[in-house]
Amino acid sequence: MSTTLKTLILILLIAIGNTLFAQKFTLSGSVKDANTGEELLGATILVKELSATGTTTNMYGFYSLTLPAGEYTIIAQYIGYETQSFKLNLNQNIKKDIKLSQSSKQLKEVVIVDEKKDENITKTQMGVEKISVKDIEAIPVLMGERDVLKTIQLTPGVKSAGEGSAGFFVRGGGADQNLILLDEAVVYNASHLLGFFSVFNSDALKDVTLYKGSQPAEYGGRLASVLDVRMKDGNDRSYHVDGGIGLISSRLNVEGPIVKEKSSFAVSGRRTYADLFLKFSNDTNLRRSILYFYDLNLKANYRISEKDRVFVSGYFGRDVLGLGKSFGFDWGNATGTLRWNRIINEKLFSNTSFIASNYKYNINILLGGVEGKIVSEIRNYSLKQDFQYYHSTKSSFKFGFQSIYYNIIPGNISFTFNNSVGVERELNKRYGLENAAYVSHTYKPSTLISFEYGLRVSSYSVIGPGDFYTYNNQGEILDTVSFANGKIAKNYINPEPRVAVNLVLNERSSIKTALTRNTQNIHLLSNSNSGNPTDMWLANTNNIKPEIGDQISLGYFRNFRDNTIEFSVESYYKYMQNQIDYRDGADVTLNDNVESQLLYGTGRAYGIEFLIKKKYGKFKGWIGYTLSRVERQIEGINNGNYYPARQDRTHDISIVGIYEIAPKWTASATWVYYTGNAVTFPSGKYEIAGQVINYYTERNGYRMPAYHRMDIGVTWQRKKTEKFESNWNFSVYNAYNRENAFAITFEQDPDDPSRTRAVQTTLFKIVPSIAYNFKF
Amino acid sequence: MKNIKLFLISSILFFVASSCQKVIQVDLNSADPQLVVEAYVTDAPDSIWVKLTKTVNFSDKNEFPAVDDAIVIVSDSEGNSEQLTKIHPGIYKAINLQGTPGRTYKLEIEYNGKKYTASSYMNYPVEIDSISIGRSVFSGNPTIRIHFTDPANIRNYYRYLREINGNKTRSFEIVDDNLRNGQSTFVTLSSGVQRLLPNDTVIGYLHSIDYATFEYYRTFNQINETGPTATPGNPIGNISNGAIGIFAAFSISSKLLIIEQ
Repeated sequence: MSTTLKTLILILLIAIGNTLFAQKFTLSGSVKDANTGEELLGATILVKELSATGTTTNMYGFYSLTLPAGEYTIIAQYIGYETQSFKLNLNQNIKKDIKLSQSSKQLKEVVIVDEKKDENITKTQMGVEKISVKDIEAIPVLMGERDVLKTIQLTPGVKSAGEGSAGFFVRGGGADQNLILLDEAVVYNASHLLGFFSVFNSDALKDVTLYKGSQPAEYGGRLASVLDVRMKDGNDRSYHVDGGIGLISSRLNVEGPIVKEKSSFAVSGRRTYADLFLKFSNDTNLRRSILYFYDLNLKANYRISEKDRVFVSGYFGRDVLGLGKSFGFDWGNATGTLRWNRIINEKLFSNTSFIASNYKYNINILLGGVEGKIVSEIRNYSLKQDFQYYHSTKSSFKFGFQSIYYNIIPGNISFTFNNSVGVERELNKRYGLENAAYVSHTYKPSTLISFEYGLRVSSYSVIGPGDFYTYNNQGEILDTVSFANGKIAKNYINPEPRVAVNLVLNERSSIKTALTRNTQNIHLLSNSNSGNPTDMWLANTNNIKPEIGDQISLGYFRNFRDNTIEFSVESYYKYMQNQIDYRDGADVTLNDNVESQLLYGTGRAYGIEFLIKKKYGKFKGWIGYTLSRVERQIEGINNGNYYPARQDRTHDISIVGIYEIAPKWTASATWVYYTGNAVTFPSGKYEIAGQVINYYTERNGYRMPAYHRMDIGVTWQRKKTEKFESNWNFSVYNAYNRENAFAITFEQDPDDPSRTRAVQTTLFKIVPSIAYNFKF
Repeated sequence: MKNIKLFLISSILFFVASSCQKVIQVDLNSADPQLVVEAYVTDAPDSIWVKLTKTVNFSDKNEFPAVDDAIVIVSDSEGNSEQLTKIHPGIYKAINLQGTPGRTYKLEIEYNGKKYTASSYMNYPVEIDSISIGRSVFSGNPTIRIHFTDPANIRNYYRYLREINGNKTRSFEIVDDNLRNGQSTFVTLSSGVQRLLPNDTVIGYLHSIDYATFEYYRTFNQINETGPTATPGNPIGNISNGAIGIFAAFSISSKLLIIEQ
């Protein structure tokens, strides 16, 4: 007992001694682009005299380093920028903003990753993909529309939901299990034109990070991943305009100072003009059609003082589809973020955000005296507070909380016949409050081992007013309970531990492991592979419980040839509870009783991901391969046996190559291959009531044909001066004209009533495109 | 929603001019032939009727083998029972037993050493108050309205049909009383013709069905109407032991309207 006590006191003394007795001071500030004033996120600050001591800037560009008093050489680096070093006598707390200049070499146009050279070995986190906006520019895409969501799908463990969908699947998760954040605001539907394009206009973006399930404790709310997209702040020194003209859309981005070096703005817009082509059609209906989308990103910031800075940013996007005056259908997201960064002291950084976001669709019909209107919406308001405390070079803390208030309006329907009221219906509205608090500690006791561990506790309260139902096994309502305004109908609380450990084996290799629990309180139901604008978000109720996902992952990381080639293997196993699937023949369109159409069960996903990546030189690129499986077990489907989830794909390969042919010419190519989705095909047919009906034996028992496609692109740098630069981009989507299956339907043969047949629909054969981009 | 999506996709494809459809060969499993049951008991005379066929492989012709050597028994909750007589290939009929509302009917089939059962409750008929002719706001064609008063206090499920000059609808148009419990209400059917002529005879039918039958028709319609990328399944039937189909007991009310000069 006494020895234990002595040891404890000794440890305490050493710990206190470490922090109190040695004279220590803090160097803090931000790292910025010298030309634009834009903060650089994830830039590295190193201390030359103390090997393996350093830090990186946070999501707002802030850094803090606490060191014993002394003289140091500080090195700041960020890929695509000139490394800067300076001497410093640290005899007091020093605040210093570091400005890095973009490197003059042409190279920067096709930089692959903005991080320290060996960061993949030394950082604690695993399962993280960082994509720079420069990456996106070099990769060929459909119709020349650069797209961060399409680029991220080329990394291992991330799978495209298929053509005609901007959705993606991360490590076996569904498309709704990805938390998509734009400046911290949730984007509920990230697709335009039913998924051919994403809502992210790359002109407006600064930084994109994807966490594949082992995310740190400050994130929560979805099972599979977090896609954290940050918008550009805008140049605070001079005005700039850049834009592009493509086959189906044009873009324009304007940014500049409001008050020089104190305040700046950025405005980006994009609009498609696909419908202009429809005017040339011979078909009257197509001529009358309306079909376009637009995006508008706005951001401004103001430095109130040395320590305080406020940001306001917003996104508005809309798809509009119509047929003359008789039919109109529009949908889109709107988000708004008000953010206040405060450097409380040189060690403590605070961010406070007020966030609102909404997704809404409207359908209007005006036909022969009938006027119909359907409106559906999901809205949330959120308050978020994050603190980062840089205790020492070895240890730092993050803690904070977030509250989200949800309001879901599944559908307000009204029909009037010749101006007299016909039908008016409001589907049950749902209200909920999600609260979460977290704390996490990053601890690097030596260069060989580091830990990041924390706890997030999340709760969800189902709030009245509303009717809540209980059902029998057949989905018939047994009982209805009504809750009054503001009354809590149900409470769910879930602790979510997060642990990540990095064991550095030597300078070139490391082993990492992570254990994570995530929960999800809102769920998107889609009965289709490709997703619809009308797919409905459902919040927890007495029947729908929070989804819970536990993931354990293990990875080996190895760099070759002076860190220019990265290799990694990551494997994972994920167990998911309270998963939702449909009953056979489910009816979910504007159904007030949608819960009666659902079944609940568990899921498991496991796989192994290989990545080899060449980051520097004239030739860059990567090869990613994933071998994986995702299955579900739900009472009432396939006799309660495990069955493959729709997104179960055994093999998934992506190859990306970017080659600088000449100083002005860059060529790129991508190739993807994946096993077809698990689908339900008929195993027979029968006749009932005089109709021939397909007979199905099991859910998702068949496979779509394998999908593969090659895209190629060439970028030609036309002019490049201080004042003006421009380039032409030529690309070919599906270069070898593979007829990939979008859908396979089994139907009556129209030419032979005694026969049935299978018909495959292909969306895109070969699609060439051209775009012009400029900047001044 | 499916149409909206198809419309949008086709609009996009118009200028891409790139999409295509083709008939392909898909290697489908051969399922073991399953028993397909279509069985009805109604309150009309001589209307206990069972049809037994089997599934075939998808690539086969649309010829569905009749099941002739089955033992088919229908009984009611009052203890009446009858083994049905085969009158045509695969078609079995009751000679004596009649359907009566308020009774639960049971179907038992013995075939190939396996036993299949189902039961269905025959609801009381709900009288049709009147039928009237309306006009579709979309096409301008005549529509048939069946007016009735839903009984309060109990859950009611209906299938409704129309017959014009002996030509009966085959589709499963159904409604429950979720939004009309206890109300005087109507349902609307398309007439299927552009105009009704004097002396045309129009009959409206209202079937009082039970929940299982309603669910069968509802899922049947749902599966046949969803888009090409949705997950399909089998309609949810009420027959045990893996047989496909439905055993429905229902009562019928009808009303005749002759179009005036």
